[in-house]
Amino acid sequence: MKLKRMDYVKGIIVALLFAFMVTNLTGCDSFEKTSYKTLKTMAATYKAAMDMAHVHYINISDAQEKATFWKQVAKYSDPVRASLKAAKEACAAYSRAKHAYDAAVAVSETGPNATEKEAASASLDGLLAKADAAQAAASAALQSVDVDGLLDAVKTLIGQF
Amino acid sequence: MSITIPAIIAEIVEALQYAPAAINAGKELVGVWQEQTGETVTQEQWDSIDPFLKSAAEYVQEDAE
Repeated sequence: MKLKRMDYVKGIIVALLFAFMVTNLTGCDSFEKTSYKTLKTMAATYKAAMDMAHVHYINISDAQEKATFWKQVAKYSDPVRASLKAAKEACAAYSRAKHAYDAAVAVSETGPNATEKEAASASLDGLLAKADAAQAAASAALQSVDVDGLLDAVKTLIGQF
Repeated sequence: MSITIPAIIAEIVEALQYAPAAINAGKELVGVWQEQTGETVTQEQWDSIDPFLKSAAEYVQEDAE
C-alpha cells in the first residue's frame, strides 16, 4: 500500500518536472537560463525524494531497521547528489565563460580606445572556444543526473521497510 | 476482499504522513518555475541551488541535534 501511495507522489513530481522541461524546451531561453532552471528543478526533486524518505525514516521504530533503511537511501542518494553538485559547478563555469565572452564583445565594439578594442577583438575566438567547451561539459553533466532513478529507489525502499 | 472503514481511515492517516513533504515539494518546484531570471545567471543564483542538496548524512545529523 505504501508503494502505491509513493507511485502517486512520484507521478505528481515527475509530471511537474516534465511539464517544466517541456515549457522550457519550447521557449526561446538561452542555454544558461534553461540549464539553471533545469538544474534547480532537479535539485528540488532530489530534496523532495529525500524529504519523503526522511518522513519514512522517522516513523521506523526499530533502530536496526532504521539504520539499514537510511544506509540504503544514502547508497542511492549520494551519487545523485554528487552528480547534481558537479552539474552545478559545470553550469556555473559555463556562465562565467559566457560572461567573459560577452564582456569582451562589448569592449571590442564600444571600448574606450583603439588599443583596447583590438585587444578585446583578438581574444574573442579563444573566449568563444572556452565558452563552447564549457557548454558541452555543462550539457553532459546535466544529462548524467538521474533524479528519476532516485525517486524510483526511494519509492522501492519505502515499500520494503 | 472488502475494504473496511477503519482500514480506509488508517490508509488516510498513513498517507497524511507524506502530505507535508509532498505539498512542500510541489511548492518548491512551482517556486523554481516562477522564479524570474534575467538574461544572465549570477553566481548568487547558482549558489541558491545548494540548500536543496542536503546529504543523507546531514539529515541524520540534524535529527541528532
